Amino acid sequence: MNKTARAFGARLRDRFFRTKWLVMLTVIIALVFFGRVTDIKSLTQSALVIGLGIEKTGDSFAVSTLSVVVSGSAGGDNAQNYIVYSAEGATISEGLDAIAQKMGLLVSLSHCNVLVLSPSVFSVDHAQLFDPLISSYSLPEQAAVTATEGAPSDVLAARTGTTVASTYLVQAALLQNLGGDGLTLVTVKDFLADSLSRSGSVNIPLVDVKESEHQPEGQQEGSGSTAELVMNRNLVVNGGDCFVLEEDLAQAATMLVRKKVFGRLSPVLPGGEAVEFRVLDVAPKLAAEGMTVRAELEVSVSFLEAQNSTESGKITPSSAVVKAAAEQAAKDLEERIYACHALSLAHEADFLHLQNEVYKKAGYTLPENCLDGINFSCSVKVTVKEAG
Amino acid sequence: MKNVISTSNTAQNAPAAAAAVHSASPSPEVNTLYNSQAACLVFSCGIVFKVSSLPGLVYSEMRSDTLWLYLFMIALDLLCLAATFFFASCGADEKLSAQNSPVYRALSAATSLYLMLKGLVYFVYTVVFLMVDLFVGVPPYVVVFILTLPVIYLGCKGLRGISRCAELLAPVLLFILLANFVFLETELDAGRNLPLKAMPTEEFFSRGLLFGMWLGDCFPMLFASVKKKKAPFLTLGTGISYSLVAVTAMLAVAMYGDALPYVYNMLIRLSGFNKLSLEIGRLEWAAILVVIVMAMLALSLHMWGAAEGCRRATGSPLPARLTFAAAIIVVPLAVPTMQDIIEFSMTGFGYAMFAFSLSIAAAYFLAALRARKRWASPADGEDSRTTHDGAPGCGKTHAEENTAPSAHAIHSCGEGAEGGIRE
Repeated sequence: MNKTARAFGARLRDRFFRTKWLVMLTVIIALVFFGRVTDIKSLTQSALVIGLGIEKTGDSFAVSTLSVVVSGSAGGDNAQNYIVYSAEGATISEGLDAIAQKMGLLVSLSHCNVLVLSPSVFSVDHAQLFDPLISSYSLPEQAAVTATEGAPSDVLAARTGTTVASTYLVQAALLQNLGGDGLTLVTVKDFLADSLSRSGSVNIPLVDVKESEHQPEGQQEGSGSTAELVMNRNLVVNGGDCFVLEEDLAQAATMLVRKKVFGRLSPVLPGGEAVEFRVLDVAPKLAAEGMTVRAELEVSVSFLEAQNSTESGKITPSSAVVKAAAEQAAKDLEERIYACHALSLAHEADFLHLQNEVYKKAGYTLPENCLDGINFSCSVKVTVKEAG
Repeated sequence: MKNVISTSNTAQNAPAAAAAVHSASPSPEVNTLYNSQAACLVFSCGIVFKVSSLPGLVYSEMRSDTLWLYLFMIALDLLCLAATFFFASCGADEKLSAQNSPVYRALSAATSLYLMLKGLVYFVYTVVFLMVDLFVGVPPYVVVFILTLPVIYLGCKGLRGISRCAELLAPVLLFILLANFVFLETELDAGRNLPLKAMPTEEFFSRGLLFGMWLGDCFPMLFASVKKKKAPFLTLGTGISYSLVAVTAMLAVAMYGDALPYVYNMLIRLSGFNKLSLEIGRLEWAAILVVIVMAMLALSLHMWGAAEGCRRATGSPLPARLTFAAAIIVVPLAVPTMQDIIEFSMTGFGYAMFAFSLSIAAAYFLAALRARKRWASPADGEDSRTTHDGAPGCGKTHAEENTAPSAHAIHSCGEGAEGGIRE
């Protein structure tokens, strides 16, 4: 009996293993079947959102999206148009759903590379702000986080002098150093990592929309004026509080806390000589010893131009005026960093991340919010290098 | 490639009763694999859950001590792995099965239950991340159904099928993982792994041991026998695998810092920050492929291990197979939310699994030691021999192996010799 049962079991097992193609076929059929009968939205039913704006108005959120509308023609030429939709909701998801209803398309943020946020939005919990967008709407974590003092929809809808959408311009400015000096890309991931850290502060690029001084000729009436996107300031976000860092301070602060920072340094010597340097590399180093933090910033620059110089002949990186200008630039940066520190103490916003540094050494014994108790000093060195 | 199997000593000397019980065990060749295949299995099945869901979960409890807990757990896991392969390579399993020792049967039953429980929790993890990252908006039963079929098929097919899949896919998976590291482009701050003391020592252990379930992912290989190739593949594979775990943990904290608890699957997030993304689009699919394949192999291995444990305990693998299959189909669909199971795995259950993992490793290590000592004793008329994977113990010496007709034979060390664990 036992032998028969074993033989039967073995036969059953052999048959089972001979059915591997059947198993594979079942899986394929299941995938095809569920692909047909479940509500899976195809690409043509999805809106390609390339920019998202969020503003908090009272208890609700005003959400705006910049979408690509792709239209094909008989000749095979595809034209791209951009359209901005806005809607309000008690939650961001509700706002996005309302936009989906307006568009008649499913909203997917998987192509969204720029977020434009109003300072009022930061009053909500930062993790709860981004987490639903990442997990439910596929927002890439490498999307850039920016802020604007006006309405985010204005930035999204801005008609720039080029044919590209405003968010492409913002992205290019941050990635290719076309924005203001020292501005750098802050991704969703970096924003959350800094915002949830011990220091709890993060500075992000601030985008201002300004009407172009000269409008293009031949522009049709009613088509709206051409705008410029100005990005040379930072918004410091400290929990729910925000304040603006002006251009020079923004550059110094960014150089100290970020690694990939480019831009220019433009020192003016006491004698009136103006020298222009291009930033090649920035190497910040913060080291804590007890409750003292020492910052050392090494900036490598290349010489671009000198004006009002009394030196005769060709000016090279080894010229005295260039060396003097490098020292002046270092001094200027140092002063700006101290000014940033004073500002951070005044606002109790640790955007230089001093508490993070002290915490790395002190560990769990470090009291919360101890920015006042941290001594700070810094030194800056600017080195002029040859660059192609 | 079929393995040619022979035994150095046939079962002709074994007691009849033991031989009858031994018939419940599969023939040795079915559970035999080369050390290169074992290395692929360690890579494919032993680390997937440590590098995907775990970093975010660990950080939520351990903060900047995440990397240090990982290093501590890796050290313990390596001990478990060493015990596993020590037991597997000296052929103690075959002898103990033949002895029909109640102690060994109880140990096998406990191991089987442990693997089933762990396989169930891992299955839920896999379903959750698939539903978050891949099948968004698809009913859970579809994901469960699609995932269950290959897992059960491979789990029933056996170790050889799983190890061949691992052998075939491990180089591809390793290449994709390494490419993700090479092309990684994002803001990193390795200093986020500091301070060393993010919490008092007692808190470090009380919180850290909650993650004890992630120890001993290679325990199913206790029921395998390992055949040695010349190169130290197992050492190499283990070294690469656990280095990847440590590097991933370090990178996870360096990338995300305090935002890490919001990361459901670290491997998929890692692939998102790819230099090539700007040129050829999002590359998360590559990591999704890696995670799904590795998870399926790991789950299949757990199912196979549970079945083999059950075979040794009861004489049939069927109860474990049926229970495992039913559990992974029913439980994920029956619970109100699958997140409850994930929460549960980090309660006192974690402590229990931690204790159980170390106990299993210790028990099998002691069993192997004792078996080796007994079978290597001169009373059995045999010399102390070298095992297939280099561990001293029973079996032929390498010189004998090279001259023997069945040079690649797997030796059921001490087969036919009397002894083993005494009741």
